[in-house]
Amino acid sequence: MVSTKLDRKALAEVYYVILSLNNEEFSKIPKNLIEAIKKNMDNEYEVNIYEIEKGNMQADTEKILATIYAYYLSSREEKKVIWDLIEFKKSKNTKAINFKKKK
Amino acid sequence: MESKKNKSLKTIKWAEDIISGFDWSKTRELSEAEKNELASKIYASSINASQLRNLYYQLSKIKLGNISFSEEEIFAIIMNIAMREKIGNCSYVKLLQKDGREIYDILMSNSDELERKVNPELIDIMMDSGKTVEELKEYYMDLGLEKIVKEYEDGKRDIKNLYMAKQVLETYSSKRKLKKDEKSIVLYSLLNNALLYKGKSVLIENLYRYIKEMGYSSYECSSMIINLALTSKDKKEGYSYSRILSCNKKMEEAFVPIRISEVLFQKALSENLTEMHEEKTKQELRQIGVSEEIIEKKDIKNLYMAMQIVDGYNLRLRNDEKKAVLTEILKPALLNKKATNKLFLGRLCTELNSMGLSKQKVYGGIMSLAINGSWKNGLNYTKVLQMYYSIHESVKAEDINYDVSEVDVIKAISKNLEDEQIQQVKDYYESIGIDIQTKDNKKIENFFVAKQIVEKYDFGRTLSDIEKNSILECIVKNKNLSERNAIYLITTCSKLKSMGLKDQEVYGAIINLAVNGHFKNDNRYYYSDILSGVSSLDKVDKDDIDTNVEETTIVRAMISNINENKKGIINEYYSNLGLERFIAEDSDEKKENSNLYFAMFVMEKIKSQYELNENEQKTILYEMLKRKEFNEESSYHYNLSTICDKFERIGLTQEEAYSAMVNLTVNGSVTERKGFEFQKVKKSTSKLLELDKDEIQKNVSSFTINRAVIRNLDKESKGKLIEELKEMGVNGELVEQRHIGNLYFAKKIVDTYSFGRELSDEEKSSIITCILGSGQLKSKSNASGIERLCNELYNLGLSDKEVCGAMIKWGINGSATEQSGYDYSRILVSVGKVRELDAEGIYTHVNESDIKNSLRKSERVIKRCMKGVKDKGIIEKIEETKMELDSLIEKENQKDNKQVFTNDDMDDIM
Repeated sequence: MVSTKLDRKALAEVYYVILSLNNEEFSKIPKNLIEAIKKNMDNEYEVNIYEIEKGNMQADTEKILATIYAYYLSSREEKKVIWDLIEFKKSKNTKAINFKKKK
Repeated sequence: MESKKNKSLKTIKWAEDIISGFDWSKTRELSEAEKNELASKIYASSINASQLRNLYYQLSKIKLGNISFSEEEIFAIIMNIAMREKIGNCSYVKLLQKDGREIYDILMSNSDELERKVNPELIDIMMDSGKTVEELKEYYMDLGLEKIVKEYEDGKRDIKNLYMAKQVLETYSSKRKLKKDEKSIVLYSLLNNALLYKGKSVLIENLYRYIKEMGYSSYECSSMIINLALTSKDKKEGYSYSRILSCNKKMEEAFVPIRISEVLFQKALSENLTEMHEEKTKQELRQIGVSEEIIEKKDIKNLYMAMQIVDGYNLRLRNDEKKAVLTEILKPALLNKKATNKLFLGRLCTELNSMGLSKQKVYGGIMSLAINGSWKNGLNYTKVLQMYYSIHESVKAEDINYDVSEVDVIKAISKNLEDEQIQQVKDYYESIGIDIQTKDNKKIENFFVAKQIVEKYDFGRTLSDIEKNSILECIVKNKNLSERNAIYLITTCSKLKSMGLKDQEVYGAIINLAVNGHFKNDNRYYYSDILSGVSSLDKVDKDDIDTNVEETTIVRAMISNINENKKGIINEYYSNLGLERFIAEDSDEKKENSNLYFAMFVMEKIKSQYELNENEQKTILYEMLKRKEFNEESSYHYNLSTICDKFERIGLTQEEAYSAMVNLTVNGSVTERKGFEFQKVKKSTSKLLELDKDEIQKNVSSFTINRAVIRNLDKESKGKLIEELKEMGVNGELVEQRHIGNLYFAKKIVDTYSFGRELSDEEKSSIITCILGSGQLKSKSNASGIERLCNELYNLGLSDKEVCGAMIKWGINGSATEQSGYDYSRILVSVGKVRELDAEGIYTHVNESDIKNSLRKSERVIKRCMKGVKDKGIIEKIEETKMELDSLIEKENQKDNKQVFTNDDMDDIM
């Protein structure tokens, strides 16, 4: 196990969510990523999948699952939308920074 | 015949007018000779015209039921009286000599004799020729009484007596149905009297009329005459038949019973046999198969009476059975024709009859005495015969055994087995592989009786040969029966019968005793003890004797003696199921044959009940027998049948006992109560008797079956199951991470539940994923989480399908009940919590919405996360998170490379 900024409980939750993906979806996620998650997750943590379904999850869980979706599980069209949004968000943020600097 | 010469023309004219005044066309036309004979009867003796006129006048005055006689009817009456020569007890001549008033009175008091038409039979009898006479001769010939007919034809007998004897017999037999032979003997007895020959002028009709005049009915008259003829023929003093025939008046002093008992009647017949009847009796005995020695040695009266006893008793017997019983009845030397103190069975019968015993009791009493040797009071057959005349003084009715049944008949046959029968018994036992091993033919009796018991007992179904033979083997394989002298199986049967058991109960008791070793509710005496000392049964309560042979007993008999035939069946059965290791002689796991055979029965009984496939059958058999205690080489022999026996004693049916045994061997226990696990009860199965039948799991749940199957899945089957799930679409990594037991159950649950339609692979895999997805199943050590949960639900009272429905609900929705605190994750950790639930409050129906909910559940969660990130306005964090994940991968890679390098380095060093 290596030190990471990601919450180990969140990694455990992520793992149990992706473990329930069907074979086709699961195979889209890089194996080394899955292995890295498995190796760094909190094995003692009792994941309650039903609570996650209800939205009760660790803060990092949502981010990691969204990242996995954005990079590996989303379709081409979805990816374009996501990246456009990210770019838009980034440029918006840059403008805001510059605006602050100008100020 | 009265001469016409002495008669006035007027009288003759009167007689002729009477004859010609009758319309003969309705009877038959008379010949001249008949007319003359009839006329002479009418004007017989000193009868004159005025007397005839007076008779006519008196008859014309008579009104019977307000109806007077017509002229023609009066003629008919006069002719009939003239031909009979009597009316009532008054002769025709004397009647006519009386004054009008007296005539009228006599006619009225015998009004039943006033026939309105001329009886043509009387004309034939009067003429001693014609149809009536021919028919009468034929009647006698038909009854085998040619001698009587011959005597008549030779002029030695009066046709009137032949005619009247027939009338008496027919009147009597109208109420008491007689067999042809009996009729023949009665008729012969009626006529076998010197007084009744021609020339003696003695007529039976006179006696008949005399008795009738005393006020008796036709039947009573006939009955009394027959009684006289049959029973008082030889009476020298008192009122013999001869004496009363010659002096009818004696009848008024004699006591002649109107009714004669059946027993007395038969005894009387036995004493009145003609040569023909004697020969016929012998012939019948020969046909039945009674030995020539007995037929020739015994007095004919005894032969006849013995036949009547056997035929008259209410027990339908085959010829071989009759033969045996007859032989027993006729055995005593006292019944021989040349015996010094010859005795007659008929007399013993009548003495018993006079004690008030019915025919059935008399005949049954004698048969029982002859077969069993003595009555309840210990009096033996010979002694009873010797003291027959005073039997009522020394024997009370209750001392006599009256009931003769199949058991007694078997006893009689067994005591009289002939060479051919002995050979048949020997051949039978040889054919079923039982060596009789006795040179003493007496011992064959026991083998014969055993065979009869098994053949005659009603098992409620047809037993297979192997079942029958197994029971037979249990009965005969007792050394007492083949080696020790004077021990007879039939003695035990008779003893049981004397205790009040019916035939079927006797057979059942013997079978139960032989197979189980002792009675169920009284195990003080073993089969051997009872065989060698039937008196021990005196201490046994009749109600403690189990007389009903249960299926378990049949199975126990089957496993008691494993012969080569059965070994062949066992080997074939287990080979076919692929359990050779249990039967191979050189196998460390070779099981004891009786356990193999018993387990086979259990399986045959339950396989259809639980719809087991071949693999499940094999698995359960394996689970039942796998323990070392069942090995042939085991020092601790443990019988599966003993467990079943205990369960049945608690009150379980055979099916329930078998199911409970499967639960005990597969699950290790049949109850939630501690201390009754297989390991605990194996040393003392009696401990099971402490259980209440209601606390025993009496049904084998599908989960028990599946549990057994899982335990015995081989590598190949496991691999096959994993591949199947992956191909269906279940995440391969999830499959690899779950214990095979949980995988098997998850799939079985989806396969077992009735969704009402065929599910697609995607739907199936989604539901299976939901069932397996819980984090509580992550560890392979939680190997039986699903199975245990299923079992708890089953024990709660849910059916197999309901359990599956609930499990699916729980897997998909995380809960299957309104109550909180019972979500899937929680109950998987603590399955016992399920017991807190009410079965009715558990959702067991899976609907389309549940199925839909199971589909792509994780994808939906992930998409929601994506949306959540978007909504929170932190979507740009994705890149950052990606970098962190990459960094995580990088670091792991570095770690792996370092490890690889180190390994390579190590190889170089090596």
